[in-house]
Amino acid sequence: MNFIRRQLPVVIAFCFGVALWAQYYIPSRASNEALETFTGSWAIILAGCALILGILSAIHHHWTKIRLKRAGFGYSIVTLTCFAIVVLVGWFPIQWPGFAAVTIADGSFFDWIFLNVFVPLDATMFSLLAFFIASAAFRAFRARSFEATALLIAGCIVMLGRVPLGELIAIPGTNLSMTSIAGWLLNNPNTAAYRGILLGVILSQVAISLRILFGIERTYMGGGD
Amino acid sequence: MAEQQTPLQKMAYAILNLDRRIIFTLVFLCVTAPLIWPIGMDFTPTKEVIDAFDDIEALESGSVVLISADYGPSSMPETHPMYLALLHQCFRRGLRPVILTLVPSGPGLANRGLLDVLESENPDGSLMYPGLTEGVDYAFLGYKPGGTAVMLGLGQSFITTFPNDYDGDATSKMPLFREVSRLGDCKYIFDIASVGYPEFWVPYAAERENVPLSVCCTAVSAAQYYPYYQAGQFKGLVGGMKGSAEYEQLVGMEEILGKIPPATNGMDAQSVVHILIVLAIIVANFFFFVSRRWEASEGGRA
Repeated sequence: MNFIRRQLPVVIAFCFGVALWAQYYIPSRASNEALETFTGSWAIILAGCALILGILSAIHHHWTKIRLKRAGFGYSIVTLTCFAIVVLVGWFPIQWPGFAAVTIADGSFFDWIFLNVFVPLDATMFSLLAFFIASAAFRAFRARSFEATALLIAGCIVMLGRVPLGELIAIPGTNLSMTSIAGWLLNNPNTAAYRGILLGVILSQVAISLRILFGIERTYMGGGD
Repeated sequence: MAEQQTPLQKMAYAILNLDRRIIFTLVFLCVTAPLIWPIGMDFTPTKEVIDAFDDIEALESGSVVLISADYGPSSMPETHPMYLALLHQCFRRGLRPVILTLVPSGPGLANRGLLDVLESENPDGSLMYPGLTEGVDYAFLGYKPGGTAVMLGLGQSFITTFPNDYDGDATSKMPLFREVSRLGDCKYIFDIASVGYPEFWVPYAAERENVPLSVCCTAVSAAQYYPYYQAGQFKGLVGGMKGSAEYEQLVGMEEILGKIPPATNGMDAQSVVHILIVLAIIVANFFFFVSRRWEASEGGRA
């Protein structure tokens, strides 16, 4: 039992990790076929299973909340009801009255739900961000230090430079406009800083990958070590 | 202490403690007013967007372009106009787009957008792109979970990765996929994304299969993709609604649609809201420093 819980996942991770790493450097037909088998079936099936696991986990979470009548359980009822309706109309080939097509095709009930319920709700959630960003900028964006001041000035320039108005705000007697200054900021200091961050992230990814391959990093198994 | 405040001090503290509902109302007005009464500010396309446009223009007629529509309704105003403009450009140039999505909320919008473009009409009422056949001139593969696994799978075969298209038709029976069997046979990849997929398209698809890649992303993500653009890993970079508006201008969407296209229409509202936020930051900082000076001098006197 201990072997299945602790050692087998490490062995599987090591074998698949090394195999896929080696595959990248072996441009043979057998190597490509192995990759095709892995990506064309195994990896996609695993990803599908992960999706199912996510759905089951969400259902379990909301069902438990409803069963125990925890605070806000009414929202969970709405969530599960909507989930059930969308699965019903999207999965089963039913000709709903008033809709021309079945299942998920254009003109179906599912398509109607997506375009008339999901799209406006999702867009509304995201558009609320504009209101909160404006409020947060007003309240919290203070030039308290040199770094905060630099960030604040750069942020204001990029905000003005990334809209048509930025082309109209120019320094007299020069070719410099907010748009060109914003472009310089994005192409030079921003890129230099982000490239450094990227290199750091990728090197740490290599380190983490090696730790996982050699069984040093085991937190993905859910335990401490 | 409150009795000793001058009118200027009262105003400063009132502004610093402004009810957020007033800010929300100002934002609302700044968004809606330009949409109702457009200003029509001009803008010039940037090099990053022109590079992407020119690459697509330079492709030979009949070339297959893989479009990954990795966005949902939340980022629709920034990315969907770009998707529509790109499809118009592809069909006008005789290119054959193969569309897929790696996000679950993507297929509905991508399918709707494709149908909108296919149903586009000329001013005389005739179809803008007549005679296009699914599976021959274009294909919509829909959604597949897996992200990078799907990208790797496409490098091996379209048919095994997507046995059926969005409508459930077998891809193996489509002439398009008999001719273009794998990602390496495509001439271009265009990822329109609101999520972090563009950086995965580089190692798992574009560089592996030696296919050029351009990216359209949200404005907030654009800054992080400049290193890829400068390194040539992204041939073009279309950032946010402004980038989409620039692409619309290059494609000539106003002439195609006979009205101001969506991203261009949003530019005025975005301009006004950005001015509001910048002004809010300046005003808040001014009164913040003034109030700090007052408090310091009062503390000194005490």
